[in-house]
Amino acid sequence: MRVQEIADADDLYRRIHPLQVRDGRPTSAAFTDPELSVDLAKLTTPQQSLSDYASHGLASIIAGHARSLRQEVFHNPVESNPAHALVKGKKTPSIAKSLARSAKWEVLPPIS
Amino acid sequence: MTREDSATTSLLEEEILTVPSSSSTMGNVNDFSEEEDHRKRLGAVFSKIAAYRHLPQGWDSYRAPQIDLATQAVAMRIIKLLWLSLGTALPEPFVAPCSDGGILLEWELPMREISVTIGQGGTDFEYLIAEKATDNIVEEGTTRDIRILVTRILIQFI
Repeated sequence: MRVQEIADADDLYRRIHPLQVRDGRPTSAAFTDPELSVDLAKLTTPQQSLSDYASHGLASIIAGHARSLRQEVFHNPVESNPAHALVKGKKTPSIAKSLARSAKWEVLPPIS
Repeated sequence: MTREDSATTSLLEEEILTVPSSSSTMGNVNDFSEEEDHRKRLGAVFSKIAAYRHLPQGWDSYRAPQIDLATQAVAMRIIKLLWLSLGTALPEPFVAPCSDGGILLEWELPMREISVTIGQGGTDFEYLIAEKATDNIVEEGTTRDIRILVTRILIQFI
């Protein structure tokens, strides 16, 4: 698997658990992991990213925004997921909140 | 149920059952009704937090650890300490499990939003107070002292 460059303009997909949604928006609770797993959008589709996780929503963030928050963003392909990437760095509450605020729904979580 | 399960379940039950029974209001039937309603709403928040113990490892579809009982108990304790000081003036928080094993508590005030993240294990706290209209940070900090944390939050209600 070839490791790809991630441009600032690239979209990154992150699955969102329904418990991490408030008033129809992703919350910072979904963006606290110091090694945040995401999918590089140009190497996958929303349907592929959500396969096997029908109860989750899918949100996208922009790589450049994460970098502006002192996060390292790099492609980290694994056998089961060639689109896998990481947003690495300490997520203070303001950083996690900024990531959550910037997130856009690609697929809304199902209404429970 | 194992002995460990039983002990940790007791820890949560202790937090739930020892919720404050009265605020500074007294004597009026309407006050009692308001207090009961408030108590029920916060009780529902406690139940939500207690239910996090059923989330399996990887519940967020990634590598999220289980939400441990100490973290749940501390989340409830923070709410109770605020409740003891503010009575029915304390709005119920939004609560959510965090992907790193912590718990998020959020309060929306008319002008500000308060976010508290209880780290996995319940010993470290991070907080953020931001202006609602602009998202400007008023205060952001970390502490291991629950009293300092509660004081920083209480100041926002005064």
